[in-house]
Amino acid sequence: MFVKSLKTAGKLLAFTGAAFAASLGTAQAEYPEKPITLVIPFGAGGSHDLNSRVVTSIIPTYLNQAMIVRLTPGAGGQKGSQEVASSEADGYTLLFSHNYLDMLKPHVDNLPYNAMEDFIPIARVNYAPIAVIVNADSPFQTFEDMIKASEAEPRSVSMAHSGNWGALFVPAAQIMKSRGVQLNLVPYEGGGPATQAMLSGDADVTMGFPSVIGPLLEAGKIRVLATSGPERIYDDVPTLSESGVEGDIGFMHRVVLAPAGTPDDVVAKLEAAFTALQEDKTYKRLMGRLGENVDLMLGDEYQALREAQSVAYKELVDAITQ
Amino acid sequence: MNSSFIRKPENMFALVCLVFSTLGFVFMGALVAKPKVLFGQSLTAITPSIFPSIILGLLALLCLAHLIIAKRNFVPSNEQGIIGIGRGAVFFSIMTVYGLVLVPLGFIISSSITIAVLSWYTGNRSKLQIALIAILAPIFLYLSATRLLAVYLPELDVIELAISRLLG
Amino acid sequence: MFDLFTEGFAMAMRVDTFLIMAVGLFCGMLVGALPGFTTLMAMAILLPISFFLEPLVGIPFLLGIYKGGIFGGSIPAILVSMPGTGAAVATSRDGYQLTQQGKSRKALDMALFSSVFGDTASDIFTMLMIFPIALLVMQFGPPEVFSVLLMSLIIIAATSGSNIIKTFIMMMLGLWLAQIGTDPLGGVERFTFGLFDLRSGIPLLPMLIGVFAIPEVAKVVMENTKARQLASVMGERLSFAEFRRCFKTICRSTVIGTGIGTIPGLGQVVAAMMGYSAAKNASDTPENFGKGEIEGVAAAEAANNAVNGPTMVPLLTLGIPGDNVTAILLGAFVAQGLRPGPQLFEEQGATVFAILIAMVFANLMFLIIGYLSIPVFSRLVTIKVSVLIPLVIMFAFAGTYVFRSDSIDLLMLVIFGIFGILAKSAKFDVMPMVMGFILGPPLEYAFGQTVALSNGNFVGFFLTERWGAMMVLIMSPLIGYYLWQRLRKSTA
Repeated sequence: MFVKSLKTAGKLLAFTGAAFAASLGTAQAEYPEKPITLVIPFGAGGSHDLNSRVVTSIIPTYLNQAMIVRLTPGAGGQKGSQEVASSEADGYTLLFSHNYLDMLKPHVDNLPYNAMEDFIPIARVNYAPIAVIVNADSPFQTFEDMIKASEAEPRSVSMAHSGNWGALFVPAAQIMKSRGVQLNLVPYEGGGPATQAMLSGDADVTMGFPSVIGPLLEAGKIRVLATSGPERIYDDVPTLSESGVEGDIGFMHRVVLAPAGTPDDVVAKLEAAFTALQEDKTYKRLMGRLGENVDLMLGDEYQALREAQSVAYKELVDAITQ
Repeated sequence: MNSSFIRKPENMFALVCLVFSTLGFVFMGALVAKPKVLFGQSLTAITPSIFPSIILGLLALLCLAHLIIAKRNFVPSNEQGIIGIGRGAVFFSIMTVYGLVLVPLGFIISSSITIAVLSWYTGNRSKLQIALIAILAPIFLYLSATRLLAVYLPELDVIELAISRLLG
Repeated sequence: MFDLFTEGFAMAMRVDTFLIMAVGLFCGMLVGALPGFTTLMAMAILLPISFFLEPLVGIPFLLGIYKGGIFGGSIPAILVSMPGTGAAVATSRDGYQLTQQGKSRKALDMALFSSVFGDTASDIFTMLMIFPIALLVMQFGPPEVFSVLLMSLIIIAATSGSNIIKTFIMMMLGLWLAQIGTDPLGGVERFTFGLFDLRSGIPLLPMLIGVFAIPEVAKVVMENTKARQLASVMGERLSFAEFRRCFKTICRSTVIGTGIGTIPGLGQVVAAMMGYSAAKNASDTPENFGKGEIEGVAAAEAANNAVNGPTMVPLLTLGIPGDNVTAILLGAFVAQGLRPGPQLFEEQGATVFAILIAMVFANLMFLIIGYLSIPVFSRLVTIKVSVLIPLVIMFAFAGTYVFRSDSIDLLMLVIFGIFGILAKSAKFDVMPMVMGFILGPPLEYAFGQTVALSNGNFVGFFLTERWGAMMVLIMSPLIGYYLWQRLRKSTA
């Protein structure tokens, strides 16, 4: 037992040591010559915070500098984004954002920055597909049952979401738009409380990421009605596109952005580091343990997706709001 | 109302609250934005101005009630004001300046200056002691915050670079 | 179930588990003692380290940080009147008065003993009653949260001071200040006057430090006394007789805290204030509360720690984290291959019990670690004024800044400091304002959710489906009036 604890202590030391050594690494004339700040526009303990802890604990190995997390929550993510937008484009201040904050927010709020012009994507770190779920004893056996019920009586089906224009709200709005139905949208402070509301019967439907709902599904407490993405995640559950809800919907893309005008060689360095990270065994293992996938998409490729998102979200917002 | 009644701090406080809450209540429409409408249903279940209206309305009524009751039971008395207003003003000025220069000058320099000034102002005359706490304390806090706790404190690039090199 | 328990007990008895827990407790206490550097932050930073450890080492490590951090928060609250979280506000009320009377060591000891007692009792209760609690938790939703929050505000107002109108004025002011920014439901701007800086609202930390700590520091500066006579004495340790005197209060607060912990989303702030109010009301000498009554420290600390046990229940039984701390624990559990959820107990029952047992032992260990550290911390008050004040100001500013990295918060800190002094000279208590500020947004949020859930028929919804919440709503003005009258008579 004692040997075991020594081993764990050794691993611990090696881990912190690596982070430390990297952060203090020998001085170089080229980028990065000081620690890089990763701004998270959300609060502590959220999924972005946890994901970033994994990234920043491994990436120093490839950048030879530490990456420091700076939490700047406020105004639904606008605050942190604004700070990075107005910071110097030298690659020392980066933003860890997601597609809804990045591309949808500009269409619903009057922002102090221009998302498309002020930021360039560095890397999409990973993404999570969403699933529409109901309580196991719900009368809705299929997605169509739910649609029928809300067609019969608009707003009779209540759907718990995690905040306006957030990860659960947007897919719901897209369903409402594509299928021409009205759901009663009830806000909760995050995906966890929303799921709990559905389990306790306060709300009829909610959504969740597969990594989160896994245990509930195995225990037979919930039923999945539909999942996002082009392919089925569960063999007997249709995708949203099969159910008549088209487009890039229900994906949370976690993406690292840099201020526009960041020099090309800096971007290249960062992209190289994220590419190397992608292959790192420890990184993969840790992300896997968090229940997240590892699916890197580099700047240019994601930029194309971003532009498409911007158009799609604008259409969505214009179509459903007045 | 006579002036000694209104000069009593608590009545003045209530009067100020009364004025601003009434103003807020009256101009509620201009101060609170309208919510967006989604498919004919409002994006919020309750209008964002309901709670502020209730709160500001109650605040105005309470302040009025306080003033009326205080007026009825008012006995003129000479209450002592705040002691040492001058020193207080200096103290708050030092803190305001600290708050203003913390980001442009960086944490270590601005804290060193503030600590030295405050320590002298609160009666420390030992130059060695002042110098010691003014230099060591900010550096210690800066290093523990940014290196051990991995949180961000503002610092000049030059100093941050020097620290990175020194430690490396 | 019992064999799982004994198996878990055996699993938890490991040297490395205890060693790492002690490290976690101590680090948590140090970080928690720095206002602005929250326990949550420490847990998020150290989470990846726990991934490399085994379940019975990694998770107790995080739990240790969490528990140490909560107590750590009461250290600056007691010693320099600087509560870093809303939960420590009630503690600092009497704790700082005790420090000024030269009894800081007693206050810290009492905080330690009552928080360990509250935590241990609620952990054991949770372990024994985990499934009944899980059922109970499912009964509570937004309507219940709304009614309990409203009741808390009424009780806080009724029991906090002699002049009820002034108390309510401050509470309304706090509720209004919380409305500056974007509204919690729709994200619509309110009272921002078009300023972007105000869009994210007024943060809690500058207000807490500004109205509680800055006026106390300023008082020393303004009065210009070179040495505080009594306040620089650490004083004696807590005697057993004093603990026994407060034992009833500690038990009452533990029950209140455990109860509030079962309602999702209320948490430590409400528990601490309710425990404090109840103790004040039950006391024969309520006029001593707020003037250095050690029972006040005991009541607040026992209650806010007793919340911890039940908040773990939705995490363990459903895999749903109720707040950010449990979200981090969920991350740690998942990383260890333990998937919290309905089947956790069937699949990994022994390990879960081992973790819960480790939690109880963490408390007992903390008793020793805390008891040994208190003399070191309370030495802080013996530092001379001209060194202590500059350092306190530096920590206040650094803590405020790291909270959300915005220099505007530093100016808010100064403004709230000035406000605190003005309010004090006008004899307005700032505590109801802070409570209104903290509890206002969840109150409005829960109200909005309730209206949304009721689909337009608000009264009918309460009457037909939520009679429990309805009862609380009807009872709260009556309870408030009763408490107010009672306190008025006993202090008159």
